[in-house]
Amino acid sequence: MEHHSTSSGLVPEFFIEEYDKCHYPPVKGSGRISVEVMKMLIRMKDVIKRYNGKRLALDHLDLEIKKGEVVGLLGPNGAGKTTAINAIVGLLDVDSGSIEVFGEQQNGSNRHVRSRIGLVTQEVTVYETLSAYENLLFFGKLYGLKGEALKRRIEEVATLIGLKDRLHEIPKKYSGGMKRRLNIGCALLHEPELIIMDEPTVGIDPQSRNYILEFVKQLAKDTETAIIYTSHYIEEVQAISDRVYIIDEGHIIAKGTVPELIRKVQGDQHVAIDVKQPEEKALETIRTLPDVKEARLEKQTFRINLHAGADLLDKLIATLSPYTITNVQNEQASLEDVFLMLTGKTLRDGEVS
Amino acid sequence: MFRFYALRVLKDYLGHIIFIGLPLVLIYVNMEIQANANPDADLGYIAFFMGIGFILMFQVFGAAYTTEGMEVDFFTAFKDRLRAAPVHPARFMVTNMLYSSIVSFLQLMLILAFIFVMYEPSVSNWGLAIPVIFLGVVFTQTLGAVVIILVKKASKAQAVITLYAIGGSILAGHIIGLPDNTVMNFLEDYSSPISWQRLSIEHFVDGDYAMGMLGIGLLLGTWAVLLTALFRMSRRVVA
Repeated sequence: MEHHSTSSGLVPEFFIEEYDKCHYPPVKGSGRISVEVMKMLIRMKDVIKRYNGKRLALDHLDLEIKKGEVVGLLGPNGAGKTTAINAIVGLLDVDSGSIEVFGEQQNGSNRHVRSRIGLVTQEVTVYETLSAYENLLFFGKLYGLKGEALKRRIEEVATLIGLKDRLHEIPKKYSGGMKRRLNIGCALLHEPELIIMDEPTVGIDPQSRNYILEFVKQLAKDTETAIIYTSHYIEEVQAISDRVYIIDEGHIIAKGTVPELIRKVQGDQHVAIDVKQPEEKALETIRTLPDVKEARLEKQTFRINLHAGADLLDKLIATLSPYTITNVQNEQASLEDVFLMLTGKTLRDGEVS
Repeated sequence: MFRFYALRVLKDYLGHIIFIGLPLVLIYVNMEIQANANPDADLGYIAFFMGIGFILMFQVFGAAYTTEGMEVDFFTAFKDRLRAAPVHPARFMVTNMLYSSIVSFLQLMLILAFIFVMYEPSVSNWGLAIPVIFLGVVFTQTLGAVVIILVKKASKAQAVITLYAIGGSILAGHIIGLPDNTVMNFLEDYSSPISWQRLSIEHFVDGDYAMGMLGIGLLLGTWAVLLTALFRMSRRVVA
């Protein structure tokens, strides 16, 4: 049982437990039940890291991650994403600032903290000469799993990553996407509370990428595992993140949900939908939808102004589909636009635009 | 964890072909030449010392197991993945060296077994060659660990070690016959750990245990120095 915000003693513990059982199903995997709104897992404050005493890799970096949320860490190559991750895991010492991980000060020597973190490295780090099963067995044992529990967990993870049927093959025979999935699987065996995925989809086909993205979303939903997802593929971060941190030159330049970030850089969102047989009554329905600021009909085109960042396109299409839609134009800013506006760089290659 | 390091080394099939197959072929071909050239010679005795020469040379090449294993674990992206685990990274290094030593030693024992099966040498005290070879294997794998930490790339480390293996073997008189003079005789006996092992084995076979122990002593002393250096240098990779 986690500590609750009611630890002041005003509410008896048994009441909280009963309340939990009624309102919050047990969390799969961890076996824990949560009633807290969100528990803070990581808190980085004013972190500075210089390499060789010169190059500033982290520049007063502030970052917070709560239990169960998927946080996207966006930035061009060399922005400091991997350095931030290594600092969280305790793989490098920082020059100043504080890093709290699971409520403990991260100093690199508290190895027990690492047993609660799963790290998915940017490069595929599985042993090519060992079978997938042996790789999973190896990493499971590194994290203290053994016996039947380990075997059972390997089966579960193999199912999750879609490699159950090819578990006894060596990764050399795998496609790039399958290797990536195995790479992720190796970090999941010990059911970490925090999973750090450092560019987990680099260099793989779209099908495997979609599989991984769906998998990450499902994992966060099912297990309340917090996930830090770094990428320079904006659409990925946009698709899976509850919150996004944009990092550039070692410091966070913006943070928030995707709609929040988009709202920062954009005014209204404009949607134009052409239909074959328009009717005025459709406008009334559209105007009742949330986030609709204005709607009008011009000949065969419905022009709708929405609040910035509104996610309403599906509803608009559903409303107008009886009138036979012929064209849809959605002028919405993307996270890419946000990044471009904030940094003057494109994310894919970090070049100055 | 130990099982996986053994598996990694054992599954290096190319390594087995090179470290077992190649010396066996070389010994066989050389012995065929010897048999034709000197049919009345004690071929078993010749085969034993020729085999020891190849064993001591390929023992050094066997350091590749440690250099390649440590390159993967400490000088590639694996480094972060392994360091992120709640296990002290020194364990990866020690396990790597341990299993590299065991597999390399077993390979060399297969070569020795081949010599006894094929040529039936009648050599006294030959069993004492086994601990000498084992010590040599441990020394060599330690050397491999030191070199890979210094140069950070297995290919570079193997270039250095190959140079040592060939140079050491030549000076020990394993590859070509050396001139019979004081300087060359001294080099043949004392120029490198390869020579010290040969010195030990030759004197044990001759029943001269004091000289045999001298070779072992030199090897152990140098290994202690190497181990101290490794301990200090390894902080760079396992801290």
